[in-house]
Amino acid sequence: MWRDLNARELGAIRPGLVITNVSSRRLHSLELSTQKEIVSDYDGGINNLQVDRTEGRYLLAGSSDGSVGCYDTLHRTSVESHSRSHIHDAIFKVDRRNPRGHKYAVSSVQWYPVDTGLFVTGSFDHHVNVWDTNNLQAELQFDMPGKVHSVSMSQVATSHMLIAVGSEDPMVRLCDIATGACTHTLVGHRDAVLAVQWSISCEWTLYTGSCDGAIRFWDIRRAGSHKVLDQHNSQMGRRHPVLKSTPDRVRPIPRDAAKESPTKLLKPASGDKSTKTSSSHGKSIAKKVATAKRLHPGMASVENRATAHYGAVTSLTPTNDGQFLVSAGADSRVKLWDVDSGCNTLVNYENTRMQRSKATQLAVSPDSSLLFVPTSTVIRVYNLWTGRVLKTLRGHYDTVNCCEFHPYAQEMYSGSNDRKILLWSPPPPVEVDEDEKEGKDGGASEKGAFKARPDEDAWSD
Amino acid sequence: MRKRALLAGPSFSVGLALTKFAESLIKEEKKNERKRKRHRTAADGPVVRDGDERDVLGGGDSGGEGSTNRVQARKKPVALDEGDSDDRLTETTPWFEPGSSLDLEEDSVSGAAEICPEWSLPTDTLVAIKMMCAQFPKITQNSVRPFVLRSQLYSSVSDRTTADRELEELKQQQVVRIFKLHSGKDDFAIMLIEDYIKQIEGAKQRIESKRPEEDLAVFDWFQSRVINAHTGASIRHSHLVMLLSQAGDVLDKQITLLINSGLLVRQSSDETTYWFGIPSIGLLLKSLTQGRKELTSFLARRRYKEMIQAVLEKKRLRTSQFDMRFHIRDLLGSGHIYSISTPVGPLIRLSHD
Repeated sequence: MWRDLNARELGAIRPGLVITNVSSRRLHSLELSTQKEIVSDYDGGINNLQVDRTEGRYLLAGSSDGSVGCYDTLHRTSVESHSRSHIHDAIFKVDRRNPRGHKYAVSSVQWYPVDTGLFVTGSFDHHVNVWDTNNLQAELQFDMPGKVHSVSMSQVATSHMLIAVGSEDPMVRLCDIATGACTHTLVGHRDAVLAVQWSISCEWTLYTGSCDGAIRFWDIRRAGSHKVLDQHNSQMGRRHPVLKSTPDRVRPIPRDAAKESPTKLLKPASGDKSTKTSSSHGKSIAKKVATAKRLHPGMASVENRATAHYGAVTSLTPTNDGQFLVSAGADSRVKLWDVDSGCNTLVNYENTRMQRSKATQLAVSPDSSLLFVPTSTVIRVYNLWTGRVLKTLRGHYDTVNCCEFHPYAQEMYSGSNDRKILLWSPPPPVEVDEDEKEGKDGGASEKGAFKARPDEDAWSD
Repeated sequence: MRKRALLAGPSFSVGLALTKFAESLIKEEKKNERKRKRHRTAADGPVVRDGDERDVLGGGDSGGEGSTNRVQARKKPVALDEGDSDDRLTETTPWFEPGSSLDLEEDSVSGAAEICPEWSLPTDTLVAIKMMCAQFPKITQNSVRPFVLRSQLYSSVSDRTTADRELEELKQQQVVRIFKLHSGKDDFAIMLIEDYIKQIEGAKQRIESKRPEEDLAVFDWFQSRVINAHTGASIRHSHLVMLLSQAGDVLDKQITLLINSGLLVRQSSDETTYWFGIPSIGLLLKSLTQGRKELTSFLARRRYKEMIQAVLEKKRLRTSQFDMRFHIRDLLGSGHIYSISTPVGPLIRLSHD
């Protein structure tokens, strides 16, 4: 770091580059933290973690025993006596004893994007609760037809307050906090929806991934998904070449062939839709039931059976710039998609043996250079663009479920089935020891353990 | 540049074998080409690929441009006009002209380009596929042509992302075809397109005597229309019918013929789509799964779960028709075993994650 500052002083590098260099150096040296520790006493594994994006301070954790805990990552609650590491206890914990607390596992937690006064939790007891942080009361409760796998609210929304809920039901529901009701039902998937994410660049775009292997992009102002990611559409490299003509590279599935033959899929879909009404496309449903062949233009994508993975899609994570989307699937593959072109960039992340049936949470570092993938009991750190493994973070005793990267600091939190939340941070700077310093506070008993010099060991006399 | 990439792979011996194989191919081609006339076309010369093929950021675009230029420069019918079917080395596409070798500096590559405009440096992935196809064991019971598993490709080429991208390019240039194998795990087989066409002909010949002539025409239609138009591993029923009916009226029983011969396989998850298949591959699939199990259990039974690769390769597998090298490469690529270099040679160890 001092070399960078010196270079900046001399004018050799730009001032912004100092920050980039220091933070990327810290990122690449992540390890299990010895300075900070999060105390997690839960009766079940940790399913989901989220740090709030307004301040970057509070960490929410959802666990399999139905409880949700909150931690302050900035200020410690106590100090451990031997190693002088900072202990962060839970600020509060909402569990089954709360009148509207979740009875079964909490699968997904998220802070309200505007401030930390509210948070949203989704659980396997078919409810989505909106909690008031100060009272710890569930202000709103939405009922879902099946287990809730994923909830998400848009970070950039200014005109809506919709919670996107992915559940066992193939239809994605959007619940409104302002009115307290489900306003949208997005039809298109054929199996349970495991992963739901809003776009970072647009407040109207939603990405969903389901057990049938498809990833769909939805514009919630229109009916139907406007894009279905197909793993056979691929592009070489990061940027789709603008000057080359598209048919050379991308061969989309011919839609006309799909529409001609009346498929078996059409009838059950229309049957379902006639029972569930939604405000955005009420008229088109009646038309569809009447004539099985004519499709509402927005619903043509229901026929599109392109899959992004050969198994269920278990996780979706957009990168911070909003241009790429990382998806993980039950076929143990992690894919990087270019959002604008909808193409697979064919980056191969080696040896990702992940959980197959459960929604997991991957993390991308804020500068979009590293990808953290929970693989069985370890977390693999990949270079996002080349797919090579940089590091393997070992520390958990059981399957790791979720990774969450702090938005501003270079810290990572991970939760696993062994009921622990671990904190990963760059190593502390090496202390320069001085003989005089030891002599000064030799009398004060603040330091309990004997502090050894670098060329001395602490166990022999 | 090319050699460095080959040798930097996970298995040093594989990289060395690749260069040796490529040089032997060069010698073969020199012998053949001296008899032929060289055609000079007005096509553009090939673009020299950027040396830094690992630089994804910059190299992605230039790699794309280089590849399309290579497509224009390469003459595709050359692939189908060789005769000998038994000798695997000469039936492959002659992809370089005499007077060139793989061990090149930049100026001699461009020098070669001046002499023979169609020639371009073959990719790592193509060399690896051809080498492994040549090492495919000869099984005389069923006439399955050589194929390579995708995991084997990953263990031969050093960078997986480059391997994926080059494979995608080869697929789109219709040099290879990819098939999904139904061995339980997701395996993909890569087969050169000449071999696949021979398989289709073989499948047709097997049922030639039992069926009328007009039904058999569907095999020709399949070969001419579907294979050329559709490069994916699976195809929808409607699309298949549309492509086949461009050639002639297709009946359902003709599609049933294709399914019965093994060229199309119904998907269990989706009734309207078919996978492309390799005919009579059942015995080999069984060998594949059992051989994998035998090798992993053999290593697991040992005290330290490891063995020197040279010693391991000499052993024979009881349950599999494939040789040990095939299974080692496959398991290396899928991550179940890994290779460590030791003073006495590479060591194979079972991974425990």
